[in-house]
Amino acid sequence: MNRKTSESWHELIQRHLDGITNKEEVKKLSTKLENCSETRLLYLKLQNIHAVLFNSDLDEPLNKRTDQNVLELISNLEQSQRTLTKRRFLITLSSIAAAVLLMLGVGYLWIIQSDGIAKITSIQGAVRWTGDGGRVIETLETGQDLTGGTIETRSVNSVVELRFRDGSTVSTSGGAVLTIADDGQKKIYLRSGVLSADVEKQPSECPMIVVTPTARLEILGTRFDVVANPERSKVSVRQGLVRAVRLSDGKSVKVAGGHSAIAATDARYEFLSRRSDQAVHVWQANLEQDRKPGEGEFLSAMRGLRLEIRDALQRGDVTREQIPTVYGARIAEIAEAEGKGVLKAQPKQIARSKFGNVIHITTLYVNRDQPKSVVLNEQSLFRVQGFVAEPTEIHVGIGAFGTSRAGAGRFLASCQVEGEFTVEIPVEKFQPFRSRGGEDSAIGMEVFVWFCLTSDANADLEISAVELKTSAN
Amino acid sequence: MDDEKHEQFTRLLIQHEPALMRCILVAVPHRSDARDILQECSVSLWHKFHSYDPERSFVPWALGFVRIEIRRFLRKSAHQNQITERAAALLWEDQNKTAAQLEHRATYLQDCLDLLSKSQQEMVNGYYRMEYSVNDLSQRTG
Repeated sequence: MNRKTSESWHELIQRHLDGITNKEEVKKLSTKLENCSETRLLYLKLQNIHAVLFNSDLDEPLNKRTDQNVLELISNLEQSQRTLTKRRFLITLSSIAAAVLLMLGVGYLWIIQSDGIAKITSIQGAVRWTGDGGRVIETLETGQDLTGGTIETRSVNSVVELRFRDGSTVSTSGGAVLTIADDGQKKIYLRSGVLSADVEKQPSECPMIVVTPTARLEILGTRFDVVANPERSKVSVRQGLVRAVRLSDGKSVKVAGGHSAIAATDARYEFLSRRSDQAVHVWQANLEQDRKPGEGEFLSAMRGLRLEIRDALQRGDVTREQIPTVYGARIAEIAEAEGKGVLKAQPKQIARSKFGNVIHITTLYVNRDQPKSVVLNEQSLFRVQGFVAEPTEIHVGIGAFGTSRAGAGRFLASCQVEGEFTVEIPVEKFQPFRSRGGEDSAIGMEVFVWFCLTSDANADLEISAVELKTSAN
Repeated sequence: MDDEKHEQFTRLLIQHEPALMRCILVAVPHRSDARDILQECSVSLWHKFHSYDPERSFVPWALGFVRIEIRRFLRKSAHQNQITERAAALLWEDQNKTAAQLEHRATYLQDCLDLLSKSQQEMVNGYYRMEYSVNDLSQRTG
């Protein structure tokens, strides 16, 4: 290699090590590395400097290592149970991009919509409508006509059902944001939350379109449910056929009745249509992965242990060298128990609620990543473990789809707890939130969300485990 | 796994983490990616520790898992700015052959750093210790 060539590869390798090369340059470098031992040696020499400088504090002998290094190692073990930070960042970027596209779609739809396209057939709780170029209405009534616009179901007990002019119905409940339009082709943009639809036969050239942050659904006439958030969407088809397209890579699947598909931004999740009619009756929450963002802050057990070790080191109760002996077993136990920790309730402002203006809530999605539905039977009971700082009343609720009709209901059970608590609530204790002619009992329904709330700000509600079991086991 | 095993594992991992990190950095120079890979490896090693023979050296055993994790990362990141799996494999081979030479060079590194001007040393510290990006550094130093 002559001097000039060597310098050019030197620069390219250095740029790569600094993380500022583009795709073409890395491809060129890879090809060179695969074919030239001299370039590999140059790469290793430069990389070695990079690694030594980066790693220099780690290279010190064990007895010189800082407390921070030890804590970082423990943190590594904690972090490794999660989705990689980098990938999360990329996922977030993808989600933002999807959200921007969604907003552009919404803006366009507002412009083209002016006539009534749907009628409210049922409504309860706080629901906000934004339509007609931004006009906001919060006093909606059954029978009211709506133009294209956005619906927000603002509290946990909010439910609204709409009927389009052709008889197709869609309903949504607590915490959802969706935009509807019909310019000859029905379009629904579900930003987050749950949507159930019973769609009349649509012209084959103009299927109904449902867009979520991660998927696009084409429907010619069917009954289906969708649960969506910025990272993934699950579509469960009850009857008919839905074509689902994953937005991150354009891959599509056909989802037939009795099947479901999960479209995640992260392509590591397989995008397949799977049978969902084989329901299960048990479920155990993974507090970290199942939680709804903004409705429950996850504090991992490892994080708690890390803080404990840090405090012990500061107090001088243990030395760095004693950490493996004193804490090794607990570190191992926690690392093996994925998702172990507590979910701290977060405050949420809600309107027109019987719980007051501010509630403290934790919410979990049920079997969001699993094709099988979680269906309640007569023996079902929820076992909930947690902690409250003072005796208080908690309200445990579920959101569930009916199995015989497209529609979602919310059910609630209340109980008094104090200190470290474990409560078992049989399904028959769950009562429907306000009666609206829906299901009276949750038995036979498919659960898609679980939540626990209190209006007591001083209770510091924490949930440490949630499980659905049958009284027989 | 009994407590003694846990303690042994924690000790070995703390002791040899720099060697594992060096192997990762050969193929994946970006620090946050390298840390992510090490995090993934830590738990893999933890779960497989029952198969580790304490009569043998820890690093070669652990590096097997590290390389699997790196290959997985490179495969998933093929569309991003990462070198190919083949290039990484050849670099590891050559790294083994030239380890002594590279180590020898590293011992002189501190002497070289001492020769840098204050502003140059600040730049090196900014990148490697403070972990500013190249763009950040260029803005900070004008």
